Amino acid sequence: MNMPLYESAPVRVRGDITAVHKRACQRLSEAGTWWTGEQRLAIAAEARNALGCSLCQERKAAVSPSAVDGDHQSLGVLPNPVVDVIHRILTDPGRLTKRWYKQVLASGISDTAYVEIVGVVVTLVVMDTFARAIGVPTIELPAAVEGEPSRIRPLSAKLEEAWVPMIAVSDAKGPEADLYRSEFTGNIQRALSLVPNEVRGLSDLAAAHYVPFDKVVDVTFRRSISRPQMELLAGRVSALNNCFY
Amino acid sequence: MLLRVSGQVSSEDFDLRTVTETNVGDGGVPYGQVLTSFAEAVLGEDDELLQRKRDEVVKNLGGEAMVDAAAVIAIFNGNDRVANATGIPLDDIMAVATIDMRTELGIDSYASAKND
Repeated sequence: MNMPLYESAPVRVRGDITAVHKRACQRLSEAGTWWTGEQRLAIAAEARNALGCSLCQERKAAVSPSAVDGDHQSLGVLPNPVVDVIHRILTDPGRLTKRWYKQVLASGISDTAYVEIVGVVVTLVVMDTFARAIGVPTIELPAAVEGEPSRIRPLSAKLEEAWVPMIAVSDAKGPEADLYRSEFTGNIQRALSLVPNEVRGLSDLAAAHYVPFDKVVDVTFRRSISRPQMELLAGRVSALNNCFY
Repeated sequence: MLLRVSGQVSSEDFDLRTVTETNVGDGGVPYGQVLTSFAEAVLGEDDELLQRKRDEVVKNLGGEAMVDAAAVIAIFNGNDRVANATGIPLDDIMAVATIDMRTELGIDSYASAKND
């Protein structure tokens, strides 16, 4: 992806952020582990579309999302169960439940396909939130790259307390040996490990946006804002998202 | 929570209510309220408010800081969805270390805390 990013930004954007967003866009356009490049871009496009969905807005305002029936306003490209996953993650993440996740699996979406959807949606959310925050248009996503998904499920992923199987730190060997780069590896870093490339992608984004994983426990690490300022922002965002973790 | 830990390391006493409540001042974090107001505006829907809050960050901390703040807001807006969509439990070490804090801030009452 050679197009310049953030040239219209009112302030200079760090080169590592621009670089990681270019890599993220490239990843979105290429075949993943379970979805083609075309499908991954369709997921990203549907995530952007979800912001204008009136069903999602009604559900968000309701005491319980399950109290509101209806059809999502979708782009009409992806199957309805996939659209629901995308819209729910994007618009009302704080009220996702294990029961809902089991319904997702019952609808025919595999756990691996689901985890990759989460990875794609989150990648888009990170880039689009950044664009909104600094006051520039969202990135125009590139065209799809042809290719087939690898369809490799990591043998070491196991179902533990999370809803989805994850790879334990001690089991990250062989092809997954590079997955975790810090002595302290929290569940947030393992969460998408059923699709290891989504972990790699999120780690790449986190290193530029926040703190490199090997510096997470170094509370003296800083950028132009201090670590306490960074942690205050992180905590406030999580509170606004009703994120317990 | 790493805000509390960073305060302990630097011998500063941060008011953790700044994480979950509005209008509680900076809480001991320089320009804390400017930053949290910016985060709220980014996650909100009022574009004019966002512009004002963005300008406040730039005016008080500089353009580079605004970009760094935007970056943190963005990655955690993503990370929160990863956590909520995968049902990951709190790490054992954090669960023990934050018992009192979670009670004090009401975090245990979040829907996502049930993890069911």
